[in-house]
Amino acid sequence: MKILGISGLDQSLPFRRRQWPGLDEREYRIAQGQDSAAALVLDGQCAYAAAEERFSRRKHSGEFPAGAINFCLKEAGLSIDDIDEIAHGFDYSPYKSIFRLDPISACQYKIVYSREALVGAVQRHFPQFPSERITQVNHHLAHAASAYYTSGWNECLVIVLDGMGEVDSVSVYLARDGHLERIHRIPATDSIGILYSLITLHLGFDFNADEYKIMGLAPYGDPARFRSFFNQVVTFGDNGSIRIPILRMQSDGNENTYHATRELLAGSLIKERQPDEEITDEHRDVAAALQEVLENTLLYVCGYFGSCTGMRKLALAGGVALNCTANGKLLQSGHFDEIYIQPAAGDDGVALGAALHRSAMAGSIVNKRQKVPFLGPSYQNGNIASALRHHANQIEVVPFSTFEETCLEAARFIQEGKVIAWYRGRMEFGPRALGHRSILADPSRPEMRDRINAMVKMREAFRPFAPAVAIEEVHHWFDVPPGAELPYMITIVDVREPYRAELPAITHVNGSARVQTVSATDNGDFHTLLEAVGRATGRRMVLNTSFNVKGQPIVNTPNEAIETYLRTGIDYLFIENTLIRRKCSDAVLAPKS
Amino acid sequence: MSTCIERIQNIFSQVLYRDVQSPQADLFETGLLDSMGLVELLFNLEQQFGFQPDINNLDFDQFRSIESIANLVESSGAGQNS
Repeated sequence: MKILGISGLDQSLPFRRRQWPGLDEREYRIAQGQDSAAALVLDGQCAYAAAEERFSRRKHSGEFPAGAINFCLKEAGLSIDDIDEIAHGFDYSPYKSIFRLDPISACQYKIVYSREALVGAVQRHFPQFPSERITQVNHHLAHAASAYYTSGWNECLVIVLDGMGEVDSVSVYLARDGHLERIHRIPATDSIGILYSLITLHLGFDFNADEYKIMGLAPYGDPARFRSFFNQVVTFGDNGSIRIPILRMQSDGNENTYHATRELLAGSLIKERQPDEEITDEHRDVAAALQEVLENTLLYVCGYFGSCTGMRKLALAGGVALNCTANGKLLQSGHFDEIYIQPAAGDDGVALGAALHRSAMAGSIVNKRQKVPFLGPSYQNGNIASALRHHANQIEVVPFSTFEETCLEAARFIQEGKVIAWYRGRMEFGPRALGHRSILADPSRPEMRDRINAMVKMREAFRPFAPAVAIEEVHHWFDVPPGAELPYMITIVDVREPYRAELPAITHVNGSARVQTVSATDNGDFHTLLEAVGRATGRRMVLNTSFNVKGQPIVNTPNEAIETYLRTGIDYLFIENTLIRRKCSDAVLAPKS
Repeated sequence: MSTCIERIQNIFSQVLYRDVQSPQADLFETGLLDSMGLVELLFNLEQQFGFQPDINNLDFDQFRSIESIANLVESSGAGQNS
């Protein structure tokens, strides 16, 4: 079976723009269907997957994932005619009649959500693909499938939490013997994900995009100041349900901008912050209290269903599962023996899940734990040489004959306090750079955080950077058991007290870090680099952040890597076994072997 | 024991947080029932009464007021043992 999964609703934003011109630009993002992607599942296992933003170069793009599909097909050596089925990670068809309730909703259904819209989008790009081979998968079921069928577990609890999938915000599944059975749902009108995104918007950031920044801001604040507000806003039922009545406040009909809820926030919480305004203690305290209520909600829902099902293994997916701090609290809670968070937990992962679900329905599934998701494109020497030639008047190039020599030189730069970009192999699937499209530096240098924030990432100074550490010594630096596997950089743990001062560039203000463990078996090249770094610095650890600048998707091609390098303050760029530096750079290179 | 109308009134006030003036009030005209509200109402009718209408052939007039919803639920036979 060759099943192509896709996600995104390509008419979602255009419809809102046409229907409601004049909304604030950030209000247009209050919509489903962003982060489109494609994933190709061959005989029950994912072979290729990528988000469309990496091809369109528009961050969080919800456009039809033609670029990602073409990548999957090309890499697999297939044409669209070879594909048995295209599965989409949304299915609004059960709600078709409800959208007839008013003319605007009916129009929105027809243009954005309907099967006809999906088939039309597919056939605009692939006219010969038969409509009967295009299928729709419920959004949360697709998220759940992405977690269960890559967990490697036969039996577990699967919980999906996001802003909204069709009409739900949380779905709880029992997974057993290859089947997923939904046992509970929480409607979108009680969505902890939407509440988090609305407060993100209220604090001057972007809805459905910048929630991780609020998570980063939270440890700077004190949750006590606004705790009672959030405890009144979010209440827990006695059956695993949550209630958030302020999300039901109506005032703007179909525009769906939560205007009345935001008015209430302005009146009862704090006034709305504009994006260019200074961030004050008030904003930090709101972020802290919001993060606390999210963590409490996650612990309550997961704990409740863990307890009543007796399940000790939990698989998580959905955008809320990208909240690394909450994941860390869940891990420490003792509610579960093992927790697996599907690394592409956002809506890009729905492409993967839709394909896996349909593959499972066809009896063709291989439920094996997903290694580090290097499922995206890689580029051959020809592409790299072409990119180098294209920038020949701006760069100097030093090729190395072996990977070991490349690592030696990269480790020397890191030890000297340089910032390097590290580009090799297949691109990561999901929001994190895990060692193939990364910016790396020495985590022990106090100035490194400000330097990368200001000169390279051009981003908010409060945001922390993450460490990548060889799995053999993770327990030495961090408060985890020996051999703890955290390969997806999706969980916060504590830096051990004696080492917090020694690791200032990756230790957050509350002593935590979003650690990535790197093993020789699952992430071999990156592990080899960390071994070299260990020999140079005494620490098999680097600061690892994604290779992009603010507002830009992570680089995909060698050309994008060079262009991004040239317009930032990154000291050196490594593409595979080639070192690249600016012609004007006055750094001294080691002699070439 | 609560009547069907009272139980549906309770769904509106306690679950949907909508203040409906009377069982005869027009839920659509007054903007008290939109598409998301209708989805949530159907979910709660199923939970509380076991009422499962054909969602693809809804007659919206039957959902126009709490009274008409109660008539629909009672005539379907749902909730008699609930």
